[in-house]
Amino acid sequence: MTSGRRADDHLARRARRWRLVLAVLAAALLAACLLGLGSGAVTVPVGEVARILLSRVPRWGALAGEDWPASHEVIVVVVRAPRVVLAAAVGATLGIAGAAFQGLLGNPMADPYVIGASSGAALGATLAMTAGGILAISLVPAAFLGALAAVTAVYLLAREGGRVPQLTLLLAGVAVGSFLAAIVSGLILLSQRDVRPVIFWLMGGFSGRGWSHVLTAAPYLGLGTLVVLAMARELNALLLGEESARQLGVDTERAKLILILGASLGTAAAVAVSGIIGFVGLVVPHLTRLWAGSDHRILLPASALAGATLLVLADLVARTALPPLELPVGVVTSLLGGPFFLFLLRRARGGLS
Amino acid sequence: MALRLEGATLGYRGGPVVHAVDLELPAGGFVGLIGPNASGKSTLLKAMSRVLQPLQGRATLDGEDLWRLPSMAVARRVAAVAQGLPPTFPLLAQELVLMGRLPHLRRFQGEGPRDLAVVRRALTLTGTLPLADRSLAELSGGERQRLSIARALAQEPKYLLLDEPTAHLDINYKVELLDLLRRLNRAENLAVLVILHDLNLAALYCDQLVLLRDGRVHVRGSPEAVLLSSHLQEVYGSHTVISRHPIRGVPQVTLVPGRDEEPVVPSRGDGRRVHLVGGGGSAAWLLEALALAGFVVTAGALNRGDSDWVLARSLGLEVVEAAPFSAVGDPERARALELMRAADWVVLADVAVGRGNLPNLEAVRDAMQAGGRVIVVEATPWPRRDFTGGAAAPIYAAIREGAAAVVTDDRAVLERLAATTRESGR
Repeated sequence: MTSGRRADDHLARRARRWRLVLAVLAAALLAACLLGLGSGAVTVPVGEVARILLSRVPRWGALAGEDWPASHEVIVVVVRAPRVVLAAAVGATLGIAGAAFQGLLGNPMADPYVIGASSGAALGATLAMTAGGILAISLVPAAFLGALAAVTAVYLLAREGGRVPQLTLLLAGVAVGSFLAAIVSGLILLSQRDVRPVIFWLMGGFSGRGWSHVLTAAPYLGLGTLVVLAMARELNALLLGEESARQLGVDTERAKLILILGASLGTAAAVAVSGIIGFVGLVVPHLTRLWAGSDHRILLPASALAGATLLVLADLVARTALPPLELPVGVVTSLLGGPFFLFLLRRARGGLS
Repeated sequence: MALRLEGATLGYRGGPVVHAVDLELPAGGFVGLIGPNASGKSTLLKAMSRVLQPLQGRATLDGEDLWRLPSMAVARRVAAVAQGLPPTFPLLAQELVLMGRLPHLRRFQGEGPRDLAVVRRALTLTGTLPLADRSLAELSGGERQRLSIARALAQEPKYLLLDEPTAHLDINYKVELLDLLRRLNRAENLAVLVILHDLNLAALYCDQLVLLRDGRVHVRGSPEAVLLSSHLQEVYGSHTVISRHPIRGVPQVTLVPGRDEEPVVPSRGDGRRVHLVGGGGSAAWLLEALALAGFVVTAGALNRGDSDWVLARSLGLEVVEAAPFSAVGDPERARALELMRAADWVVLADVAVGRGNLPNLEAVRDAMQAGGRVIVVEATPWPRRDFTGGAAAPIYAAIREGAAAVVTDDRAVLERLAATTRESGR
């Protein structure tokens, strides 16, 4: 009987814990968004931000009143809201894609860029900006196509007799990534044009992004995220290794293909719309795993919420740290994320010994 | 009803490693897969658990093609425990075992009370309930192994396949684990296919053994039929002695180490026949040495249960048997004489003689008088071996008188036999 109670306890405890994790992270995201919408060159109080948003909600709008300057509404709704929403969407996508790649490759050092997505996107964007003529399409679709092409190449290169072993995939990703990065450097060096936009884009950020960017990227970000979320149990099985996963009835080759497609689609869209933002996809799943556990049914949604929160806050720092200068978000995430990650690693090791 | 491979050729990128193998795990069966490293055991297990698709031939589950069934449907009937868990992200023991329920749940369905009951039972059966809330990272290899088996049991399979489940376990857990598997096999008709390195454990627990060699089935059948010195010599290249488990009576394998000394018979025995007369361990060294050197060795008469009798039987030699603790009777004496006369040499070991085995001595004398060549080993002076009150003395003296050689230790017998090979040939 005690054993029975113990197992039931486990499930009940787990359910409570999962609800708590999601609730806390959702609240944090909401707070980060309100803060992000209110802060900047012009400060709008958080209460006012909340009421401006409320006024936009059909039927409930009347409750908000209308006692704020019209400029504030423009700043919040037109200038800051798309940035915050985009930062949240990109952060969620990078967080969940990072969790997916780490689970898929069984490697804690994997991140959304590990299988070539970032360098492919960089090459696409660089080509678009440095080459003329037929290649001179706009930056975002070029980056998107570059990312997908690189991931496809990595996937095909890693195939061995109809299978894609985890290690080969990782190595092919690293090799292709270095190769493409070298080409990008070469192109930038040799270009006759002004390459500063490319370099700024490569550093990643949400500067000057509006609702049109949100609408362009949202379907891909959303689709990628949903595909990964639906594969939680396959990722769980892959924790035991590919052989055991297959013996649990998981078609691992199909699962890997779907996961790579979903996570790469989301990553490609994220890179295309916001450049290369490092560390989010690596750090967020780690932090989340420490708190929420390794079960992907909670790890994936929690990583999405945590990634969104982190990137909204990082964007806030990027906009407000050195006014009037705006830092690239990628610089902020790497500057803050790197040391923090090392601190965590050391602490975790200390705790074990 | 069975999990079956039919003419399965299996391999990886480097080419086939298993060639046209038929293998069957009948419902409720307990089959052991044995063989040296790289003989294809794990590959066969992968083919039966729908991990590796046959290049040729097919795999069937209860008559249906394994690869036409949905993988989840297979996983509800066939569970497998691979060798070891990969190092992975922190996972609780309980979470690992809960994964066994995966094939029973729909995509977004959470575990329910029944799933928990199954998991709880699997934890209890494998003795891992106290570990449920621990992290896998802090558990020993043996504990993780038992949890992996609990995970497989949580799948509620009809067929359970295990790749060296006892590898990291202490002897008590080895036996406990195999006891558990056999209990489930008997009580719940769970079919078990297990890869084992330990041949003695395989003999103790399996109904059927399949001995593999270089990706082919060398021999299969009951442990009695499979575990023969000759088979093990062919497959492992090792010299072994097969005896009986003192309690269960199943065959048990004892390894015989290589001899430290230089071989005294460099040439082989060429199939020449030697009949040994011994008993009580007096002929043990010679029985083995002569058999190894390539002589056709016969022995007797020996009482059943005598240590020389056990050894001769283990070596698969032809032995004249007498009832335990009884005198050698006329029929045995006649049969022993027959073997002596068929032999090129008769060797009388340094054996003590009493009333019971006096007929052996008489048979040696008769064989010698009929022209047989006899070597006498006399390590112990005769009077100390005579328990007949003097009755045997004249017979022994006659044998000693007419013997081709009288030597003082066993090795000299081999030297003598080797010398005659060179002198006189056959």
